[in-house]
Parts: sequence; C-alpha cells; structure tokens
Amino acid sequence: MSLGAGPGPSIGPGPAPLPAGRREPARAGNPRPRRLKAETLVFVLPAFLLVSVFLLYPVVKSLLLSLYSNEDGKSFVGLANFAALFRGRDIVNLRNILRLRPPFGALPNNLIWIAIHLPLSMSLGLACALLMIRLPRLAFLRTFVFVGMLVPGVVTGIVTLFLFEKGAGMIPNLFHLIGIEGLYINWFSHPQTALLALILTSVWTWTGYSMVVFLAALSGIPQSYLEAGIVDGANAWQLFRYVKLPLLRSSIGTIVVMSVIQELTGFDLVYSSTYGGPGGASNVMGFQMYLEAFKYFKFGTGSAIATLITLTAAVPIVLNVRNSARQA
Amino acid sequence: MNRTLKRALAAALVAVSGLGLAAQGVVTLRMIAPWADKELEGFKPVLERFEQLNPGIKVEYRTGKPEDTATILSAQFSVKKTPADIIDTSFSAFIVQEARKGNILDISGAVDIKDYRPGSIDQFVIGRKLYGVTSIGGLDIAEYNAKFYRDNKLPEPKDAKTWEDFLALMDKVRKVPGVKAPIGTGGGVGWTNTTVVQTFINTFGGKAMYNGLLVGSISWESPEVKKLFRERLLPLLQGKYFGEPEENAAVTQNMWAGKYGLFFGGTTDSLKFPSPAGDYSVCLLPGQKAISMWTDFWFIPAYTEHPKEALKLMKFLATEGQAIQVKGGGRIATYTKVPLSNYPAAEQKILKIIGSVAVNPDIDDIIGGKFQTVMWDQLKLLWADPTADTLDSVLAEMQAASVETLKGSAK
Repeated sequence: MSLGAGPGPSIGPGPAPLPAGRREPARAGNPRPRRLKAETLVFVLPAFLLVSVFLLYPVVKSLLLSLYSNEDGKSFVGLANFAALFRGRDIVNLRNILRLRPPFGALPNNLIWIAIHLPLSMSLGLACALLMIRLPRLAFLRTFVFVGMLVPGVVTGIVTLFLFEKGAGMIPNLFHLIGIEGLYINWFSHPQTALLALILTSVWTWTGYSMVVFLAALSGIPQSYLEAGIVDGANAWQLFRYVKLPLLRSSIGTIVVMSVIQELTGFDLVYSSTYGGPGGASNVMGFQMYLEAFKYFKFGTGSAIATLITLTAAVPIVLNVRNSARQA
Repeated sequence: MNRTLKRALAAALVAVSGLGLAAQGVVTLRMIAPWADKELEGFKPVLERFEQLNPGIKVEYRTGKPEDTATILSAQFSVKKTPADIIDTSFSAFIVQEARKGNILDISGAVDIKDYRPGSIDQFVIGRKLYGVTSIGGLDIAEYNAKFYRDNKLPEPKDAKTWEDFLALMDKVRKVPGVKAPIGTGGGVGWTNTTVVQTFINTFGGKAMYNGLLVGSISWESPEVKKLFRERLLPLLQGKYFGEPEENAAVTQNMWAGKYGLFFGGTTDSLKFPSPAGDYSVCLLPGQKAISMWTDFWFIPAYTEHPKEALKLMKFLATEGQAIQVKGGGRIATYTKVPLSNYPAAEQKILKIIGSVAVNPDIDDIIGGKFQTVMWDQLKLLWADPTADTLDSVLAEMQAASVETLKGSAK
C-alpha cells in the first residue's frame, strides 16, 4: 500500500496511475522537477566531493605522474616509463616464459594467479554454499570458512610462512606423509612453488567471500522454481545446472569482478611472506609498484604500473557492467 | 568537600611541576633505531647514561627497521617534516642520497673522522661537509658450535689449512647422524646469502675485486667474478653443502642442536641467538684475506626542532655510547678509541681473529637502494636453482641493478 501516486492502491484522491512504460509529461510552471534537481545535487555533492578528492584526483594525478620523469617528476617523458617497464625482466620475463622456467615476471604471475585462484575459490565457495544451505543448524561452520577474510593479509602472510615451511609446515609434511618427496621442501624458497603457495593461501582467504555471496543468492531462489523442476522430474544435478546456476549468473559476475580486482592489486600477502622472491618468482604487479615507488623512489615507474593495474582491472568491470545492462 | 579540595591541590601541584619542568627547558628528542628485544636491552644503558649526563634532555626511543624508516622518511621529507630528531639506519646510501637533497643536517666538526675505522665514515663527506657518523657494527663471519666438533671427534673449521681440508671436513660433518646439511642457510629477506658471497669474494677474489664491485669499476658479469662463482660457490650449492633456507633464528638454533656444522652469519648472532653451551666460535675460511663489516649509521634530519640537542646526543652515541654499547656483546665498535677490555670474552676472541685481516665495508649496504633488494632476492634464486644458466642470469640482474643504483647515487 502506498501513500501517494503509484501503481498500488492509494489513500485519498490521487492521480490515476499511468500505463506501464509511460512517463508523466513535464508541465509548464510545475516547480517540482527543479526542486528535485536541487535536492539531488545536495545529496550527491558530499559523495561527489569525497570521490573527487580521494579517488578521482589521485587517479588523475597517478596517471599524470606516469608520464613524467623519475628524476625530478617535472620533465614530460610521454610513455617512456611504460616502455621501460617492458624492457626489463621485472614485469615480463619473456626469456623465461619461453623456456617455461620461473620467474616469469610480475604481470604473468598475476595472470597465473587469476587463472588458478579464480576458478578454485569460486568453485570451492559455491560447493561450501551448497553444503551450508543444507545445514542450517550448523551455521557456525560458515564462520570458519569466512574467517580467512577477516584475517589481515600481513598476518596471513606470516602464518603462511610457517604453513609451507619444510620443518614445521603442515603442507610439506602432508606431501612427505603421502610419499611425494618432491614437494617435501620449503615452498617459499623454490621458484617453482613460491607463487603456488601464495595462490593457495589466497584461495583459503577468499573462498569465504564467494561462499557468502553464493549463499545469499541461493537463499533468494524461490522455492517454487525448485518445486516446479522436481515436478518435471529433474534430478539434483539437473536442478543445479538448469535452475540454480542460471539464477546465480549475476553473483558469479560480482565474484569475478571482485576477485580479479583483489588478484591484481594484491600486495600485503607477498610483502609479508616472500617479498616477491626468490628472484622475483612470486612477484606481482602490486608489489612491484610498491618497490618502484616506495623502495626505489621511482614514482613515474610506480605510477605507470598503477595505471597498468587499473586498466587491466577495468576489463572485467566493463564486461560485467555491460553484461548486467544487457540482462536488465 | 575535603576530598575535592585535595584533588584540586594535587592537580595544581602536577600543573606547577609541569610548568617547572618546561621552565627548566626539558627537551624530548625522538629517536628511531632498528634495535628491539635483546639488542635494545644492550642499547638502553647508553641512553640512560646520556640522560644522566644531560638532565635537560629526554630521549624517546622507537624501533624502526631501516627499510620501513626509509619509506616513511621519504614521504615526511617531501613535506619538510621528520618523525624523529635522530635516526639510525644501516643504509648509508640513503643518508648520502637525502643529504644531496638537503634533507640531512650538516654535522661537520661533530666528530674526528680519524678516530673511526678506515672507510666507515668517509662516504658521508660531501663537498667537505659531514652528514652522518657510524654507529657500532657487526662482522660477516663463519660461525659454529665448537662442542659439536668435540663431541663428534672432528677438527674444528678454524683448523682447516686449505680449501680442500675445509671441504673434506664439511663432508665428514654431512655424515654425522642428525645433520641436515654441513652449512645452514638463512631465510627471511635473504641477506644471509650475501654474507656467504661477500666472504667468498674476500677469500678468493681479493681486495681489488671486492672494491671494484663496491664502486662499480668491476662488473658482476666479468670473467673473474663469474669464475669465482662458478668454481667456488656453485659446486657447493650443487653438492648440497648448504641446507634448505630457514628463518635466521631457526637456522642458528638448529646449528646449536647439531643439525648444521657451520653458518655464515654475523657477530650479532652471539647476542641474538646465544649458544646454550656457550660454545660460540668463529673462523676465517682458509686463505681469507679480508672480512666484511656492516655498520649502522646515525644522522639528524634537517627538519629537527632541536638541532643543538640532537647533535649533542649524536656526538655521545658515536663515541662514549659505542664504548658502553659493546659491553652488551654481539657488536663491534667503529670508534677506534674503545678499549678491548670493554668487550665480552667472545667478542675479544673475534677481534683477535680478525686482527690479522683487512676489514671491508658491506657491499649491499654501501651500494644500497635497488641493488640491495635485487642482490638479496637474486641470491635466493641461485640457492634454489644452482645451475650455470641461473648464475648467468643472477649476475646479469645484479650488474644491471648495480649500474642503475650507483648511477642514481652519483647524481
């Protein structure tokens, strides 16, 4: 029941509702639209100012910095900082990529991170959500899965150091127990395993996020849809594949965007565990940006990396927005 | 009412004494240095003595790792501010770089350069002005548990006359039950591998090569440097003489527990990770001609509000302060007027051992900047993948970083 004009029943003599898809024509002399505009501005202004000062300005400033010299920050060098990034081996180590021998460089490492982390954390999150929704009495278990999200990345990094350490670490000892001696090593000391250890840690911390999003989406599926499927003779797999999964599409989109952003901007885990090593084998763009800007004080190069990260992260965001618009 | 009156009187008393202190001109100096735990315990007597001698100055201590301090300072200096009035760092290159930008106070005349170990303070002289002084330091040295060798009826590493003798001893160590590897490898950021490399350059490369690499006149990719790495270090890595990297605390504790025969560490280990049996021993490698010494350095930011008091503290720290600090053990003074009797027995023994060899400054600390990060990280890669191919790539990366960093420092 609404109190004003609208499609529902109304109290008092209000204007008759318009047919769907038709707007009320603007009437001359009606002050309402103008007042609404002013109100809108008043409400939007604080947020706009905050976004401008703390988001737009830094983004533009960072973009500009990437076009200026590292030496004085005043000489315009165009795209030279970007070109320099690809000349060295820190961002892309083409020689090692061709030989399939790590270190591959920060950008390929980020792509490997996405390729492993995204499907793993998403499918594990979905599996957990499907399990948890059937176990409402064991809701506390959700906390255990989600707790990884609550631990600061720096702490996670330090914990991980011990988890993958040969002497005391659970993971190498587990492989030792099942007879895989090749992985009974200090994972962070070897270029072949250092990045993988970080990715697996990241999966542990991020699965909780996927689970929560999927849980919310699964709870929102009307029972009648599932019942209709059952009446039609669908089994559990068919219910999941043809009823639940299509309804989870927008949640999948959200998880993909958020995960890719996290995977591209990740820094704390690398900083507190491997420091990008050995030999850059676990380096990522976010950490390389930190090194260039705050360790080597090359703000132009650091800003160029920041710009690259933003552009790369923009791809899934744009695709998701387009997809959402198409669905709407 | 009576209670309220008492409270008011107490508050007035506190206020008056506060005003009194302010009137006496008590200045609080903020200090940042990297020491914590046992190292800080060894430093506290220095501050206590200074405050005793200067009742008008209080020192507020804060622990800050050099890499974190450098990051914070760069941001603070850009707005002409400083988080501390006096700072200790092991990155001498950082002081030089910031002094050139005008961010460090000129302290010319504060100390006499001739009173310090050669090469430990000269780098801070820029255009006849002095911008920093050396603090105490430590030596890169091979450490071992003498009891382990006695228990296993083996000669100690210090008794090895030739390189072949040394390797033969390490082969025997490998066979001792419970030993993980003859030599321990430190983990963490990777500086312990630079200790090994510097010791090898001091042993097999000589002074000319060491200094050439330090100033950039010799390339890390030059045939003689490559030969040293290929013939001396690589075979040891390939032959698994070095164990899996472990955190520094773990690797030294494992050495005391008889799991490693030797560890290339620093003299500060005797303070940080003391041997339970008190059998801490050190040795030079057969034929070792020099030893690397790393030091910390004091400087005063140009934006301090108390330059006079900060200078007073710096003078004390660089002279009498060193004499007090070495008493706590694990440290070697750079101020040559510190008497040998001030050191504990273990350090006196070390000083006697190194008395016969030259002392070189620490390569990665002196070059600093990108080179240091790259050297630490690349050597970790070499330890993990000790092939000739990886060695070439590691040396190429180190050379590129050395050229870039030294070029930046020269500006």
